[in-house]
Amino acid sequence: MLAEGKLASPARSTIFGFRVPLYSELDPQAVQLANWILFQSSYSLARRRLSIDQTLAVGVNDFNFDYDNGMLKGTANLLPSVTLPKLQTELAQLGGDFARLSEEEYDAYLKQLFISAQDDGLRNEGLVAFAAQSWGKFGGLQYLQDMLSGKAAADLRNKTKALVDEYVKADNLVLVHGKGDK
Amino acid sequence: MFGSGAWGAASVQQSKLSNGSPFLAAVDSGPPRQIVTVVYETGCKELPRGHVAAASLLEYLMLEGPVGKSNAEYRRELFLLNASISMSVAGRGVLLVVTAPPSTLKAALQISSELVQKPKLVEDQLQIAQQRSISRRRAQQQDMRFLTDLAAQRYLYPGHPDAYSCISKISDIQGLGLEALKSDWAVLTQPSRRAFGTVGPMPIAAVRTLIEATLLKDSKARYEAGAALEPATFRKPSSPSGTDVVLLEQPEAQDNQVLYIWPHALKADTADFATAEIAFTLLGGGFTGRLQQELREKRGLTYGAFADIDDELPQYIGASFAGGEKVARLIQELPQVYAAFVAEQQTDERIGIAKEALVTSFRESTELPLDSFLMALDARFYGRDPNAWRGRAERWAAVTKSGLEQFIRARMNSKPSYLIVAGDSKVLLPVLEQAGYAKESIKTLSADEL
Repeated sequence: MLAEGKLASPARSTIFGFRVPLYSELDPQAVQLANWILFQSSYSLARRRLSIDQTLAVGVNDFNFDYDNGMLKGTANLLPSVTLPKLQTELAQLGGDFARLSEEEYDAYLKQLFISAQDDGLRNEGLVAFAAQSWGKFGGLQYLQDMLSGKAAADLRNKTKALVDEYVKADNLVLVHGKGDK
Repeated sequence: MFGSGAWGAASVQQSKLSNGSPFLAAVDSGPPRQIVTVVYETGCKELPRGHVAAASLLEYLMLEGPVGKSNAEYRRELFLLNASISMSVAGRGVLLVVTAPPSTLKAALQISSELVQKPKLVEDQLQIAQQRSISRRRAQQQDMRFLTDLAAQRYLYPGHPDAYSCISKISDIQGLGLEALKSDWAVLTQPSRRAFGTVGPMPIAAVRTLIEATLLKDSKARYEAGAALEPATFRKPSSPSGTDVVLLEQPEAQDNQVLYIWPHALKADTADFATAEIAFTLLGGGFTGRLQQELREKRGLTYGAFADIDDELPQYIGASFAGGEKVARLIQELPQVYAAFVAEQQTDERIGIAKEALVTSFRESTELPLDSFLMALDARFYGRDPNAWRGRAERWAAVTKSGLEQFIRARMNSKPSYLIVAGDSKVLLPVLEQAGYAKESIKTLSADEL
């Protein structure tokens, strides 16, 4: 789905993502890990494809996972020569990129996610926000406890893979761009 | 050995490594990763005139990784180690931070050593770094709040490293070539000027051993302390009225920034400074400060107004912003509200609330042993007593109502020495003249002149 925003964007900002069910219907760690690998990690698949292994965009980040629901998404500012169809083609590859992750890479992403969670939980203020997210987004505190203790859910890799296989596909991609951008 | 405080404050050990380099260390079992810091006690202050641009260029170049590895390979290597390496350049020094889990710290330190030894100072990377630096600088030049803060440093304390922020003119970024950059890199990363630190879950002795085996292995240079810096000297206003005006030109701007500056002679982490902090919390702290209550709530002149005391540069500030006809009133009324505050009697209730706000904020920012380490590192960086911050809560508690009022009347009772405004001069010049600022006292600068 391609959507044009109402305002022009001099920085060629785009938002993109893949629609998923409400997070309360999914395995909490699987949906968080999927978003982490695709968009949130400093070495996310989106960053690797758009600004590390190629130079197509800058400012590649995840977008509002903490606040929103029902879509795993990221943002990027396209470089002048990059077209929207090119971006679409690249984003459509993310599912395949995930499938090709080595065991070593997968383990590094998971460890990175746990480290990030443990850093977030160091201070009272962060811990409160984390607890609210666990409760509100995932229906209880088990998610919080598992993340802080670095305990991976049973069969997490397969659950995450199943989520990505089902939803991270070209025909489930949503891409929003500035007015008049091509 | 520094003592522990009442909350989260950990012991921060100070010792020396085998080459005489200072070594600050603390244990914090909370974070999952170990942090190792290397401060090169050099910074922009030691670069030749016109070479300040090297700071931002080198920061971007360091992101590319060392010679012999592509950026993709470098990023991947750090990712698989769950490590990060960052470098920032400031007026007083260069800070290198390596963060990694205990199991991969050694490998991460080795990569950081490689990065410093073999930086990717090559022409095509330099051009990319120049584009990024210029792009960032152009964005800063359109940020009027940023510009007024920069003027409050650069114009008022010309040449002092604490007022540098290592921000350079765009022409200097464009003009700095590869050979000059290589020379600047050598100046900034002199092995003899390194001070080390670490905080995290690992035993201090284990990290010391790793640092000796990796970071000190590349050079046997004995540590040499640089010359101590003189404190920044406030540029005295030249106007007979006692208030100079600096106008930062932003053609066609729809909004305006207003910043008043008063000099002070207080040292951070002293009883007088603690008193000043309470005074400024009452005057301009957040939504309950006097400035906000008067200028925003009662008079509707602005979305926000605040005041603060700087602990690195000797100045008090009072700041706000407004557009249209409101800026004229803001320029006149901010100092009037300040003067009224100085003259009034304070209440025990409000003083108590201000103290509680300061203590709560302080406790939040020092709840971890990691914070104690960062406080000690910061204090050492700015040439202060690494232990003095620990007494802040006690110093605030000791401030009495009469002591506070005496301080305010004696040390805050003066006209501002500077008014810094940013906006369209076509709008601001008539407003300033109407407010009584003579043309001769107004200096107009463009963003790139700072």
